[in-house]
Amino acid sequence: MTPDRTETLIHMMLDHSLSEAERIELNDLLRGSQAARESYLRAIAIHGALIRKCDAAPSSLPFAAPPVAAKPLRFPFKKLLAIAAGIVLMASVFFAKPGPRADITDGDFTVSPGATPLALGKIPARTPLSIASGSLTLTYPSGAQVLLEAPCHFQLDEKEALTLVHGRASVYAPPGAQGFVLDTPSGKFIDLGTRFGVAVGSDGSDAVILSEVFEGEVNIETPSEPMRLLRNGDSTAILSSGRSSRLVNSLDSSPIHLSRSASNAPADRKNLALGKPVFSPGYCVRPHGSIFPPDNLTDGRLNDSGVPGDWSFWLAPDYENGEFTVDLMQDEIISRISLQNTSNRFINDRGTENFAIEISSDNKSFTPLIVGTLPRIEPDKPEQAFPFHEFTFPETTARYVKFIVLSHYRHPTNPSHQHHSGGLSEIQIFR
Amino acid sequence: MPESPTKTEGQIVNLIVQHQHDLHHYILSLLPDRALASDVLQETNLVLWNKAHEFDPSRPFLPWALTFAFYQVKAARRDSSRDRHLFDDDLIASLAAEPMDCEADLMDKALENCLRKLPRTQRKLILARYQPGASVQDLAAEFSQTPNALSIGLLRIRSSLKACIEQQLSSSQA
Repeated sequence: MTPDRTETLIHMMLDHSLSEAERIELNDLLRGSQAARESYLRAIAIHGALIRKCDAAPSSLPFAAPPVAAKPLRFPFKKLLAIAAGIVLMASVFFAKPGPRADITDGDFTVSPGATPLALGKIPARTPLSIASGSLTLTYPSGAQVLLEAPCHFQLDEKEALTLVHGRASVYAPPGAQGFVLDTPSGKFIDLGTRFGVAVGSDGSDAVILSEVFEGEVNIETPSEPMRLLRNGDSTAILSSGRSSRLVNSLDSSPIHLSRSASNAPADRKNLALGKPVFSPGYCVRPHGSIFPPDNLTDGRLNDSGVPGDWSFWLAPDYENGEFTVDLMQDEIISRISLQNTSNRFINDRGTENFAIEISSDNKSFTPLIVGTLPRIEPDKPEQAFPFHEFTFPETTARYVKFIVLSHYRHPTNPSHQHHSGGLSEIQIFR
Repeated sequence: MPESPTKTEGQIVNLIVQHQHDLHHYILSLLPDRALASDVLQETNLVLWNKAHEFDPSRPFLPWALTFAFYQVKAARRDSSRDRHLFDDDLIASLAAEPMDCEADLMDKALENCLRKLPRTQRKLILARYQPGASVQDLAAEFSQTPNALSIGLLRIRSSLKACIEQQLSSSQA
């Protein structure tokens, strides 16, 4: 059986190897022939069935790069999930074997839909675990503590160790807990008595892992480079390609910084913008998972947090002020808007200075509402939450809220710094 | 006191759950990017839930639901660079108008049968390719092949699966 040209191009499309000329060719073939469209739809139906099969089954691969943006299921399956969760919990209690131990000692979080349920106390070992929102603290018998920030996928495989597949972790190893290991898809971090942060993300196909040492020292071990010692203030990124990996001290010509604090806002039901769709004419896309789409603006994650491929803030395309529109999904009465600026992870080369807000009920005809200014985020206090700035106005009705950046901040001390644009971390809208 | 869902909302939940695979199939046919299609499916679920009161239970659910799915696809194409606008707008409209050639659940069953008929190494390879996050590059290293050779292998497996599934579906419809 010889695949025809359409079939070959469809196959290349499914494996992301289509060139621009081949993309045009495929478009022309599909446009011009009913048979080609039928062939495409059959191939996609099989593609979809394979995706559903493999999404439903646990991965058999040893930590392939995780999905870029694992989003919680926003759908009211809660009752069904509660029953399923109960069954899983009972199974984990009755069939538990002796092994490594860690306890959840603090946290305010929700687990991902369909995931193993979690509560304060011992976590199941050798079981994929994930949280969809909030954060939790794991405490080990040695006293080592790991603060995990959602969205996060992790697993307890060994004593005094944690496997972090995707997400952010801050590790604290007090005296007596030296040797604690944080294992990631591309390398191991061996704690020598310290505080350090790790963000495990992806550039879409390969893992991108950022780390910063806040106090003390940590050893990094990767499959293809000699062990490296990081000291207080050092930061690095592990970039993977296939089975090899390399350590770099800057990403996209910018230094690597991780905030120390958990950065999820408590869900404020009165925030009309929370989880609502946001549209923008464009957004910043750079290498190594540096992608900043507008739906980050209403995701409830704050303070320039997140991981490569799943950052929590919006940035306009390079050199542009940018704009976005929040769709509240129906007409709402509003009287207050709260804004959190960005400093692009303390690289401090982007952010909103002057802005205008306009409102509309039909997304066509907009009425000016506010013109204002946001201060720059202070770059020297990475452990503090970024401030929110509130703007109030007489009650008005709107479905669409458009935010237009009129001017943006650039790097404060280096006017020739290569990149700049508008940006914002979060928008909250209230009655 | 918590609000209990209305009868229509209850019906809608059942229908959305029942047709998840069909909605996924439809969205994926317009947005072949796995992650983006998954996001759009979630958005569509939410929209359908919010529109429950507009649903007329005397009319078929799927055509009504696909209309909203189509709008969500258009919004995603407008806002995402992940799709890289693989298909031109006119082609998207034409693909969206094509009838579904079979129910997604039938396709899932046919796939299961045909996967069982594949040689073990081929089955292992195609399932490894569809693990979340897997890439041809990584698998080539895993299976000790060049990316090109692995890609040709995948093309052959897809062709075999297609032939087998078409046979399965035609015999089940006969």
